Parts: sequence; C-alpha cells; structure tokens
Amino acid sequence: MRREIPIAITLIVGLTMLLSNFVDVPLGSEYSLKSLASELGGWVIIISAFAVGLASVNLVRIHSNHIRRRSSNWIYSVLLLVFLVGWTVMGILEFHNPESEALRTFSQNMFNSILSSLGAAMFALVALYLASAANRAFRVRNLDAAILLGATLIMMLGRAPVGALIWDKFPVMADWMLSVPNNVGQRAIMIGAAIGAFATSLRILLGIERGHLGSE
Amino acid sequence: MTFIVGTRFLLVFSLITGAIIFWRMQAVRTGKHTPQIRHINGLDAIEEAIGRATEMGRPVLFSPGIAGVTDQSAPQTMAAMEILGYTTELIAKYSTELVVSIRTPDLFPIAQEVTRQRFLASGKPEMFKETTVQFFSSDQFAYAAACMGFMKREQVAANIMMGAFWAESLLMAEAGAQAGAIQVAGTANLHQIPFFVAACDYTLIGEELFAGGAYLSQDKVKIGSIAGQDWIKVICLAMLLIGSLTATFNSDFWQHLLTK
Amino acid sequence: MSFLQNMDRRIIYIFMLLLVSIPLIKPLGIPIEINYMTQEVYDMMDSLQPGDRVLFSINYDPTSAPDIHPQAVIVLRHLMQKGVKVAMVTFSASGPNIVEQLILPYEQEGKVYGEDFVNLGFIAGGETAIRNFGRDIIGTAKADYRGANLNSIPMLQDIVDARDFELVYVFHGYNPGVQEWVRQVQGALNINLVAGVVMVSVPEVMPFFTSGQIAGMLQGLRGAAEYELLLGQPGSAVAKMDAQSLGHLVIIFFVIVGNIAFFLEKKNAKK
Repeated sequence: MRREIPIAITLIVGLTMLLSNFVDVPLGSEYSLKSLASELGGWVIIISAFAVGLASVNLVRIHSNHIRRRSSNWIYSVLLLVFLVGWTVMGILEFHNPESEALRTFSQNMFNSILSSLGAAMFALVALYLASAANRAFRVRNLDAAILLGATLIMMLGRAPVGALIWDKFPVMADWMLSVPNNVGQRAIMIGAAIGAFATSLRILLGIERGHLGSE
Repeated sequence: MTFIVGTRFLLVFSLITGAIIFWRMQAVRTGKHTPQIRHINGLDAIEEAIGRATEMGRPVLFSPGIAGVTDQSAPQTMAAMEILGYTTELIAKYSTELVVSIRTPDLFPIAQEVTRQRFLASGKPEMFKETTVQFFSSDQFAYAAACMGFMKREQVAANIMMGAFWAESLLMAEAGAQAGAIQVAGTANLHQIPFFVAACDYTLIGEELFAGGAYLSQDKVKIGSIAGQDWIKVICLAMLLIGSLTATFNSDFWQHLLTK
Repeated sequence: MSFLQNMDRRIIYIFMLLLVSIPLIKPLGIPIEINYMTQEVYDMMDSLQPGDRVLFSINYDPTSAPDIHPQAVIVLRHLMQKGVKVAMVTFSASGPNIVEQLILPYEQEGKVYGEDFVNLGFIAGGETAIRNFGRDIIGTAKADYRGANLNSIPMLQDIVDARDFELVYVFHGYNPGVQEWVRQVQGALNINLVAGVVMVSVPEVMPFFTSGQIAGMLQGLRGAAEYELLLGQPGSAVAKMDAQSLGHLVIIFFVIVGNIAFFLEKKNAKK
C-alpha cells in the first residue's frame, strides 16, 4: 500500500490536470473540472510552502552544526543564518504593513543594493568562465570541432558591433545561421525532448517510472 | 462536457501518442518486440566517475537541476531522480560520499526519499546522512554559488548534473572543471547544451536524459515506451511534411486542423 | 607551449576585466548596425496610438537583468512618450520590485499610477499562472501590487483577457517566459505577442519567431542598444556595446591562442 496509494493519487491528480487543458466537465452545481484543476493548482502552492519550511530546517540544522563544530569557514554559516532570519522578518513586516513607506523603501534598497548587485555579479561571471572554458575546450581536433569553432566565431562576430567593422557580411551570416541551421536543430531537439517528456510523464502517471518514490 | 476552443486536435494527438506508447510497452512486455537502446556514453560514464571519486577519496556532487516538480520542466527533474537512484546505488556499492544539492524546496523531500530508499535497498542504510541531501538556496545564482563553493572547498572528484539548467550551467560546469572533477551533465534545455558540451566530459542531449531511467534499469516496459517515442517521431515527421506541402500550395487546411 | 595550452585562468580573467572596463569608462564609438528584427519591433511600437493598452510580462529577475532590463526601460520610455498605457505583470518572485523600478521615473515626472501604468504584481504558479492570467486577467490577478482592487483601476476597465491589449510584450530572462506565453495564450487566443529575450535564449526562441507565433523579437542588450538608437535616445545599452565587442574579441583571441599552442604541440610531438 505504501507504493500503491501515492501512484493512485498521482494518476488521479495527473489526469485531472491533463484533461482540464482540453475539456470542462461540470461536477455538481458549483464545481467543474476546471475549478477542480484550479483548486489543485492552489494546493501545489500550499505544499510548496511546506516544502520551503522543510528545506529551511535542513539548511538551519546543517549550518548550525557547522557553527557548533567550528568547521572551516563557519563564519559564512553565521552570515547565512543572519540573512535568512533577517530577510524573512523583513518580508513578514512588509506583508503586514503594506502602507509603510519606510519598510517599502528599505525593502527596495535591500533589493537594489544587495540582491541586484550580487545577481548581476554572478551573471557577469558567466563571461569570465566562458572565456576560460573556450580557451580550454575549443580545440580544432577534427572536422566536427572545426565546424563548431567556425560557427561560434561567426555568431560572436555577427552579434557584436565590431564584427560588422571587420567584415560587413558577418551579421548577415549570423542572421542566416540563426534562422536556418539553428532553427532546424532546435526544432528537432525540441520535438524529441517534448515527446520524451510526454512519455516520461505518462510512465509516472501509470506508476511505471517510480524513481521519485525511492524505488524501481 | 465542453471542449476548450483550439484544443481538440491536441487532445486527439495526445490520446494517439499515449496509445502508441502503451501499445509498444505491451508489445515489449509480451515479448513480441525486443528493442535495443543504443549506448549512451554519458550514462555509462557515471560509474567511471564514481569509481574515480572512490579512488581519490573525494565526494560526488549530484545536482538535479534547478526546476521543480510541478512546472513544465518537471519531467526533466523526474528523469534526474531516476538517475539519482542509480547513482545512489553505485555510491553504496563503492562506499563513497554523495552530496545532492537542491534548489527547489519541493524536490528536497523527494530527493531525500530517493537516496534513503536506495541506500536501504543496497543494504547500507547508514550511508544516508543529514548532509546527503542539502538544500542550498531557492535563488538561482545563490544556488550556483553554493555548488561552486562546495566543489572548490571539497575538491569533488565527480560532478553529475542532470535535469533542467539555465544560466548557472556554465558557472557550475566550469567550477567543476577547475576542481578537476570528472563531469557528466544532461539537460533538455536546448540553450544550455552548448555550455555543457564545452565544459563537461560527457553530455546527455535532450531526450537522452528522458531515456536515462529505461537505459539504466534495462526495464523492458520502460524500453518499450522509448520505442514508442520513435513511432511518434515518425508521425511528427509526416505531419511536418504535410504542413510544408499544404503551405507550399497556399492551403490553410492543415493549419486550421491543428488549431481546431 | 603547454603554458599557452593550459593558460592560468586568472590571466584570461584579468584580460577580460580590463578590456571590458576600458570602453565603459571611455567609449570607443563602434557603429551599431540596426538589425531588421529590432526595426520591426520599433515600427510596431511606433504605430501604437495614444490611449492604446499594452501588457508587459516581466519574466526576469536581478540576475538576468543586465541583459534584458535595458530593453524594458527603453520600450517603456517609447510607449510613455507616445501616451500608451502599460500594465505590467510578473511571474518571477522578484519581479514586482523590478516593475517598481521601471515606473518610478514616470511617477516622479507626473504620470498617474492606475491611468498610465499599473503594477499587477507577482502571480505564482509558473506556466499554469500564465495560462490562467492570459484567459482571465482580473480574476487571476485580483489586486495590484499596491493592494488596490483591479476593478477600481481606470486603465483596466473592460479588460477581460490578453486579447484586450493591443499587444503583449514578454521580457524573457528565463522560464516561465516566451514559450509558456506561446503555448498557453498565443496559440489559444491568437494574441499579438512580442518578445524581448536574453541573448543566450535567442536560438531557443527563434523557431517561434520564424513560425510567426511571435510577431517581433528584440535580442538581448544589443537589441536594447539598437532600439535606443532608433528612438534617438542613446543610453546605457549603447554605452555597453563597445564593452561587449571587446569582450567577444577577448574570447576569440584566447580561442585562437589555445589552438595555435595545440597545433604547435602536436607538431613537436610528431618530431
């Protein structure tokens, strides 16, 4: 029963959500398949909220242990817990005082000065890592690698303004590559992946794929 | 019962797709058909990666992507859970340390259950620890930073990334390369595949990720569903051909049918 | 040669930092060609009339903002100058703060919240939320970010679904984004959908553009820069394009260096 009940729930809920995309069936005077699916959508948010609690407990326990044991870099665990609590408290206060201009400004400042800056810095790191990955990985070892490298160079020069200065055909070539070979490949992989996702979902609904339940 | 406008064709196509997959699964189950899945090097490499981690005495990091279990990328996450189960069995076999990094809180209890059950089934329940599955952060780049920091600090020997990844893919893969880890990645997020190809040792592309569960378990029914997918691809190709021909002859018949 | 083959990554990072920083301090003025896609989007926005209503779907967060936020800034400026009304919704948890950032300058210059623009806030639920919102805007969002009932917002009078806007502009940093709008709303309601996309997602979104499901597409920071030039108001995106050019050249340089070293080493090994 430990396996059968979750599989039965998966099948019923999955079919409800799937069918609600295609048909609406009245279920009594007040409810319909659409409203049931909408209700289940609300449950997802509630369950996700509980999962946030569970995950946060794991985070707090692991980092509290780091601090207690004075593991290496334990000071970062202190910072993490301080910000975890601080940001949560700020969110709760803001939620309960929507009229407070001071809280809104403080929250906006935290957002602009900390979250935005850190996020932008991490995103910017992609450029650096891309440079080192390209230096390491892009070797013309065979014909395939040569084609890959050639396509990369054309796209990079075609997309940066300096490319047109070097040769005015680079942007044209980049546009063509994006519209023709890229589209062909993207569509092929997209169709394959979509069918794969459909089949995986079907196997989960039918209880054939149960890796997520912890067993084969 | 009322049909939602513009979805009739989708409903019929979904039913046909489901029926074909079911039909092929039955054919394999009853022994009428025995399909073979070609070798997927990326999946074969997981054992090599874990073996290397055992030799080096360093941990294995498994990242199941940053998508949840309720959005449109959920099948990728579920496929990642299949591969996590297999990875956990190998970890138990080789007695190596595994850390699973989690971004979406709703995946956290599922990943815990997968690893706990697989350690139990492998006869090594004591290998499941509180630190085996760790929630890092629900913020995309904070999660990536935590993974990168973990790889550097612990000098992980193997970095396995399976699931839906976005802009953090290259950051994590490059951090793994810098730590000297053997890296196996797989995603159906098309725009991230080039980054994985450039920075990882092995990459699963698109539907290879979804075939992971069937390939690793060699379960006949699951392999049957993969065979069914090939049939559906043939139907899709035929539909594309019809669409191209009707568009060439300025007919909107096919377009109207698809949006019925 | 092995030094060049396995170059210390810190050298690469320093090169990249220097060459990207210099043009930010002293712009080089490399001319920017206008791509046909940007021109199409610009013409579409320019053809809107005062009083028309447009919906912005802000599907990015602070991390992808450097590449996509300048697009939202310049397109909003264009629409505000034309007297077009803009409703903004977000499916990213940090989106409401981004919307507040976007509307702040116009609030300060006297435009009226609720009449010229409105912040519909964050709607949880990813793809499902986009589907529900596109088909029933008031019923799904219910209240705006500042707590007002949507029925009391003047610019939202008579709005039922996404078709009631002249067009829907999706700023896509990551999923849920353009594909979800195409799948759940554009296909079903046949809305006029325009996309602003981070550069890395352009190849993935391209099939929807060529198929006509997306009426127009701006590509990353470059798209914003071209739009600024078309509007005759060069701003932050134009200033950053020189840095992008040099950044690309640095990467190409190191790829070439790596390959020269690779071939020389191969040649030496043969000897």
